[in-house]
Amino acid sequence: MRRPDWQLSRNGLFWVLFAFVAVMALHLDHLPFWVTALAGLAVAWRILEYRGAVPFPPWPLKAVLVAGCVAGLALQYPSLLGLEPMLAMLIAGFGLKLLEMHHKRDAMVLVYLAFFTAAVDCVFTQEILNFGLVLLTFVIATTALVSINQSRVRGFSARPALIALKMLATALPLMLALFLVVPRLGALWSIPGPQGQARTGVSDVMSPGDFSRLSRSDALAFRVSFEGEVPQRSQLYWRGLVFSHFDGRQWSQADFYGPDRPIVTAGSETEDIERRGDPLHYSLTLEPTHNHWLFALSTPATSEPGIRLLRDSRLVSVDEISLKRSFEIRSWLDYRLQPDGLHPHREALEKAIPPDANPETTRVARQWASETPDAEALIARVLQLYNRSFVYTLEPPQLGTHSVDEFLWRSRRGFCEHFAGSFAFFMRAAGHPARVIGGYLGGEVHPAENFVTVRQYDAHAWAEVWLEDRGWVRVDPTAAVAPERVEMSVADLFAGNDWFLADSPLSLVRFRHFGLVNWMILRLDYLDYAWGRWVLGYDKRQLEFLQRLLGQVTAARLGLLFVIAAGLSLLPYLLVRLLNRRRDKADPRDILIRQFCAKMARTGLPRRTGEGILDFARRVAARRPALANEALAIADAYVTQRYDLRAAQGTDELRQRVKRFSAS
Amino acid sequence: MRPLNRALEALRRRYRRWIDRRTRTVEACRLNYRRLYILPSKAGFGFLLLVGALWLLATNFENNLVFMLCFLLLALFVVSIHFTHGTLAGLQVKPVRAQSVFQGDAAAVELCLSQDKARAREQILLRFADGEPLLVTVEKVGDTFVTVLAPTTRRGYLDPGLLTIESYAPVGLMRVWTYLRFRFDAAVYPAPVTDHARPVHRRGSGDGHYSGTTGSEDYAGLKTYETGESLRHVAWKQYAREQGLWSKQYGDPEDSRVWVDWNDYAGMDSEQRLARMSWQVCECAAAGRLYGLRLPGAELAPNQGLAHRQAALRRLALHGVDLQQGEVDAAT
Repeated sequence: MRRPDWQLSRNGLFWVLFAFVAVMALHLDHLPFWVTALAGLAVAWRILEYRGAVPFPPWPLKAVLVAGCVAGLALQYPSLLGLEPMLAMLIAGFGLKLLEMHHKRDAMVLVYLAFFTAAVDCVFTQEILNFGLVLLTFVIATTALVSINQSRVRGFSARPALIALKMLATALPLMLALFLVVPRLGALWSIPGPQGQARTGVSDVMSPGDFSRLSRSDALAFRVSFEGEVPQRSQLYWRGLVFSHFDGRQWSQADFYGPDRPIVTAGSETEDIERRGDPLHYSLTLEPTHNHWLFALSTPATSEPGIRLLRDSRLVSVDEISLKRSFEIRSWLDYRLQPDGLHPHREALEKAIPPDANPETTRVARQWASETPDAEALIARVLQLYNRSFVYTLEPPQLGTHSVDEFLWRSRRGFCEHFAGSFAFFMRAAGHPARVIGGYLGGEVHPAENFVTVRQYDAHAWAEVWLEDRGWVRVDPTAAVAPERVEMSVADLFAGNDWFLADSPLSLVRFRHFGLVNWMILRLDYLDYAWGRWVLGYDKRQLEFLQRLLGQVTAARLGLLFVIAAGLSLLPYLLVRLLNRRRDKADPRDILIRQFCAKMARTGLPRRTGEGILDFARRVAARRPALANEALAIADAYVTQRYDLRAAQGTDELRQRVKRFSAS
Repeated sequence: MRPLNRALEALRRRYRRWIDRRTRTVEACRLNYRRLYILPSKAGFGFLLLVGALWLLATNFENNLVFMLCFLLLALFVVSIHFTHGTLAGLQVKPVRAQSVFQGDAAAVELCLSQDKARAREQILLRFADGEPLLVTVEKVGDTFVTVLAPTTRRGYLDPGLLTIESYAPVGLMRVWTYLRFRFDAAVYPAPVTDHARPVHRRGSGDGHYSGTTGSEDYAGLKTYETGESLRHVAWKQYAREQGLWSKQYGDPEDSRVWVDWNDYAGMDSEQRLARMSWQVCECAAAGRLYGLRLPGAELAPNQGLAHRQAALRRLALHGVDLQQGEVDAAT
């Protein structure tokens, strides 16, 4: 049977549309333009339809729209199996469904869809602020749910919002309990994450000027939280890329699939890394880079799924890192990398220089090599050259074809990539295997909480040289020019420089010489860190947290925790119910007369609903003449004592009569 | 599909019968956890599917924020049990009165919903079995009177069947409901069946056109007007002079007396007799005649007026009805 209120009310329609618009606003960045436009049109049409300005769309139009959407999505996305195509499909379907939403039932389905699509936004971005917006959308959608199921009201009403907030607030403790206790299973099957987003951070090609460009941004690169103390700043070389290939101007990565089989698994025999001492344990939360490489201190190892260790001692992810994710990593700062010699292919690669490039540098390098055959002495000599006559600056001059020649012998002003590139080239020209390493240096250390925040402006390039018996050794020529770069953050080094943070004009970092601003930056940073560690990365710390909370994680204690949390959520409700409970405070005479009626009912003569006591007594008298006198007397006594104001208001007579009364 | 539907229908009937037996008759009832049933609605089960989908999304992307949202919705689902329960819990339902009607008509049953505290209880649906549903909102403290229509299928005491009170508010994920059974003093009169063998002549109206009082020779005087008397007999002149409401009496009462008699209908079973007698009572009352009623073992002296008509019809309705059972005795 159809309920009398199957139709969607005006207020319900309003809130459903509102929820839809909120979801659209969340997903503006993730949707093709035409889907957004179509959905906007659908909302407008539905409003006009409600006001009677336009008719319901006829079915041929709807058919054309559906076909158009399907075709558009098929053209837009090469594969429909992915997050974005799914999202676009849901939103397009949502919009089309809006046009023919008249039933409460349809509206409910659309609100469910709004919940789902709003949650999908958290897959794209996991910022606190963004999560706040998603929560706001949830409140709106819950309000829509309430307003759909509410009685019709005239015009717009905000009352459903209050009810929704009340319900969500009551749900919070239970949600928290579920979040803490429910175990996470890990991915059941793999779904491609968001695609086609701009890559950020250090790129896999390094040409002069790239790193100084990164210094214009204060965007977060990653956060690292150490178990135990944070090592000295001079140790914090976050190694991410190895540039082995030089074409005269650009440094780039060598092929992953060379004959020396660069991909190894940690701990296997083929890996030629010697690790000494105890490792540092830390967890690194990387912002989505849409690249494959991770950043870690040398020499790292991890047991994260989907992460491989390369022979050149760095970690890469099998899939593009398109989601914010944290990695548990161990690093041995005391190590020897490939000390027993290089694979011939690798050696040739790390020594190669383009034949005609930078003739002057090549000549000097060969000369110095013959003068100083010992590699370490040669390194010291080159670094001394840097130290004596070079300037570390964010605004290096433009360089021509023979960039190394021009830099080393003429301009002598540069940023880290100039130093690292020219140094590696010099060493190669001198006959030593050398390469450029890309990554980040230092970061902002929060000593109290043992975590480090690394931003884009901390990007850094340095060099590695292969030495007999010692393997690959890190050499940072920038440190020779500007030792303070290693000890200080770039932010402090270049504060006030026009180039620094040029792309982030409103960045708070610019004003951090004000104490309050600095304090705020640190707190915000900490908040974001805690968010990443305890919320976004909770699945990794769930066991640890529960252990700390419960002492020992057993099924019984988990159950207890859950029951307590669930109980807490119901407590306000139960309290109200208990307080509202009232004792039955009936009039004593009514109770007595009820007893009399019960006695009669047991003999098969119940008092009818709405039958007055006198009528009932008369009926009893008629049907059971033996009881007539007593029944009439009781009724009479009741009426007198209950209603006759002149009579004594006692209950004695009635009580005696009722007690004495026997219907059998 | 067909046999499945039939099986479901049979199951539903069995369930209703079982509930019917289980539910005791009450005089008034405060709805509490002992009386209220609550289960997820269809939309509620759909909502659980949504929660499942979110859980899959969260698990596959190993995304703790989506987990949080998923658990928020699950908690909302749980909390909605209490909120929906609250829309009916604490509400007091009392039967007030029911209208006596002819069998087959819907009886208007007046109920009183009361609460101790001002509290909005929305979207409360009241419905007797097979009856029209009524949607009400209770907001104020104290009594809210509502009238629900109950279909009638049997003469006798009005037995409207189970009253279902249900609500899906505030979020539609849960359905809370209760079954109540009330006893009413109202009667269901036998449905009138036209008996052409015994037409009742309407006095003074002929073919339905009333020619006025002056032409009537058996005019006997005035009497105070009683409710239910034909408006044709109202002395409008006196009323217009503000002398009160009088009705004109016509002479020769002995001759115009009609007996609606059980024994006139020989060869019919009791229900058929009662149906025809019911028609005759209505006709006589409409024609403004004096009429009496003779039933086996009972007689109602000739009279007229609304009260008399009701008394006569009630006699017919309750003829052979066991007073305790409230049901028609098969023996009569």
